[in-house]
Amino acid sequence: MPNSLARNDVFLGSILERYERFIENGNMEVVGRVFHSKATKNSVVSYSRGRDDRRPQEVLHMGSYNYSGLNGHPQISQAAIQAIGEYGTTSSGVRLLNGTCDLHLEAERRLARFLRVEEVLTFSSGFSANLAVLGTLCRPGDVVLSDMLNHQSIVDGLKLSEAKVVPYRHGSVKSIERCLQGLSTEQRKFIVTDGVFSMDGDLAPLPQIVALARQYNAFLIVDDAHGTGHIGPNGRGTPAHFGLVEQIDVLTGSLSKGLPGVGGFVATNRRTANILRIGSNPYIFSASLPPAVLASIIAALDVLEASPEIISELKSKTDYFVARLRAEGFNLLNTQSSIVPLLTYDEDTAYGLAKALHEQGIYVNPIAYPAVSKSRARIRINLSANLTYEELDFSIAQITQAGRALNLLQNGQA
Amino acid sequence: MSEEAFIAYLLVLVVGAVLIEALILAARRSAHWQPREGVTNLLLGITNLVVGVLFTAVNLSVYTYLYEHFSLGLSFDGFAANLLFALLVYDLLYWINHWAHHRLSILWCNHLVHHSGRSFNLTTAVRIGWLGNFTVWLFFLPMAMLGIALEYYLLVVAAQLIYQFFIHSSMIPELGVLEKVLVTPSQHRVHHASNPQYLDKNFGCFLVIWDRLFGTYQAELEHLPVSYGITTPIIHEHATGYLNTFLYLPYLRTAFAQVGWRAKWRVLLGGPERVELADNAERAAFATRASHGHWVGFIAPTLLGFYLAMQYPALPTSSAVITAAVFLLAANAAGLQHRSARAHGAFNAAVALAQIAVSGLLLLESSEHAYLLVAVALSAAGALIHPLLQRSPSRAEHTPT
Repeated sequence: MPNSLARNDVFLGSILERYERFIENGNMEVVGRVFHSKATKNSVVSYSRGRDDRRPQEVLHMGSYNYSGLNGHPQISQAAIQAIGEYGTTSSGVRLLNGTCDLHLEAERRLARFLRVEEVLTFSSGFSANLAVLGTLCRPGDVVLSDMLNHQSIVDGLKLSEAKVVPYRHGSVKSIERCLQGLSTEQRKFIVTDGVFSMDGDLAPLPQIVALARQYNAFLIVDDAHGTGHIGPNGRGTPAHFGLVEQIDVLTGSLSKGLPGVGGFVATNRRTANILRIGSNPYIFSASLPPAVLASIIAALDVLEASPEIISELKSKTDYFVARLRAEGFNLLNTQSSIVPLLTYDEDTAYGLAKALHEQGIYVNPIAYPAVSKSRARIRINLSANLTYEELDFSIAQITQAGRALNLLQNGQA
Repeated sequence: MSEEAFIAYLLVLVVGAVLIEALILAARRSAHWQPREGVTNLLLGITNLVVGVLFTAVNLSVYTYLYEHFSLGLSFDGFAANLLFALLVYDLLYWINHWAHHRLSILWCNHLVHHSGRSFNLTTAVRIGWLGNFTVWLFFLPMAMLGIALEYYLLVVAAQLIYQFFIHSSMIPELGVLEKVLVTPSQHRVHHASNPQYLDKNFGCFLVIWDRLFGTYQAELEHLPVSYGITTPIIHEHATGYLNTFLYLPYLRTAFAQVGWRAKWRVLLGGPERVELADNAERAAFATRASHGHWVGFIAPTLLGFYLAMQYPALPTSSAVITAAVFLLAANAAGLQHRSARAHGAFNAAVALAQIAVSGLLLLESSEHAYLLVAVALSAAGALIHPLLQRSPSRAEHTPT
């Protein structure tokens, strides 16, 4: 009986308690809201199951991971439709058995060329790409230095690996160095970090990390899920942004954010790629990407390679947006990307602000514990390249108005 | 026909054709009607022309020297035969020259200026980086060594200028059977595309036979609309000096960052895809309206360029040098963005004053083309006053265009 599962278990019981509390105080309404349209900048969204009144609301979508704005691009959609016509809706298999079609090879080859690496593997999801890399390459006996704010998939992957995990203070080069200094040179060690941190919007200090990795003989793994199609020349990601592509040993990424598909990828040298292809469980035992997704990725790379101004304009718009919001008095932490965290400190204010903005026609994500620390709840705004300056102005006006109503701006300072 | 006369006719042709096309594009509300870029193109074009005429003496004297001392003497009976031979040889050398300027980073660093525009119209034809004047001529020296006389070389160059000018058009469709033999606007649109399937194709000058022979031919595909520009992001799209030079430093930096001399040479002699462009090395300047290099500042150097192009043989050496120096400074400073509005204002004021001073000095010397000098002085004064007439930055437009 499902109910008895929770009744006798404290951990599962506490999860259910939180759920019931959320429904009670109304915060559940803005969690898991439902999209009734394409998830592009003008979307139709309704409150989630937490509320009875679920009228669809037209909103300006400012919580999307689609930084490049390519979701719905006619050339890309057309490529996907054509692929379905030619290949059907599924690959019906796993890569090493009957699940590889020529689109898989083409997509991996194009990604490798785009990212300027030797080889790329694709996975069913970015989460499993991280599990694959960390679960296979890091073994018991290895030491892995991991940023405290790394994505949960890295934390879980490291658990799988059974390696010794040494967390370092977020973005702190000194902390990394201190951890490295205690280890012997023969000790096999890794440094793992997100490229772009998805909650704070800041970048890992890659140049210094690369220098340390070289000095102390550590392997460097970067999770660039929020970097591809977002920063770097032509959207080539965080390593390209810093000009350090060759110094990264393994780069993992996502095909569902800047690139308009779903899935994950790993970009690395040929030997490591071969190890992962025949030795990592998520590659061997998980269904391969469907043809439509692969065709979308290839078409998206065509567009990104041909039009570097998509990403350049995203950066200009972000700079403008961030400057205006800071001038109003909001605390945007140290964002260096198009992910803009707007601190509300208090969890209820975060959900209240998200709700108020939903009513005013702006979709943003409320972020609270456990994704971030309890006293630093926030709403998270993600900008995409296809937003116009008029839409940005509109959203700034709405956010300022709602923030003022919730007493977020006191005496001109948050 | 004297060189000055030819240049004068060329300028009239270019300006006339550009104006007519502009009227048509504007009337049709075409995507290629981008006046800001058009103004930038004209300034880039006149800068290239001025540097070209100043350098032409060197080019021609080397050609003549080689023709007189190292020629194989391949000459034919009759004007037509010699001209045809010159055309064919020039056409092949042009393909090689053009291919090299795309596939060798050091040459691409300059040639990218021509491809960097987002619109495609007749002004794109003159959007040329002036450093190319020092690299392109080398590829045609074999003509002298084959024995092609200077007059034929000059005739073919003139023909190339005019032919290549008119193929930079988005309005002329595919030309049927001509596409098999001649270089056409449709093929040239593909050449200017940044779509992966269209990159590094259609290098020809008059005849497309070399592209077909060497495997670099690509027809314009109906299902694949051309996306104009280059695949490298450009931070300051309308800053003429920046466009002419921005890739050189990353090119050298990437080369010398490689470990070992073989890797260094591979980048130095390799293609542009090897050049690493790190985002954080360049930061857009303080974004107020004043910093975006308003197009008003482009008019004076363009007119000064016209003056130089038409008047240079008659100028005394000292005046020519001073005018050329001021011109080059003003032409390359146009559109630059500075870190502070104050630095921007001071720099632009200095450039404007220099142009006013030079036009005044030249007016004192002679009255030839005085109307141009008056126009330079007036537009430079306008560029000086213009920032003071603008509203405060808080109400400024945020788009650089």
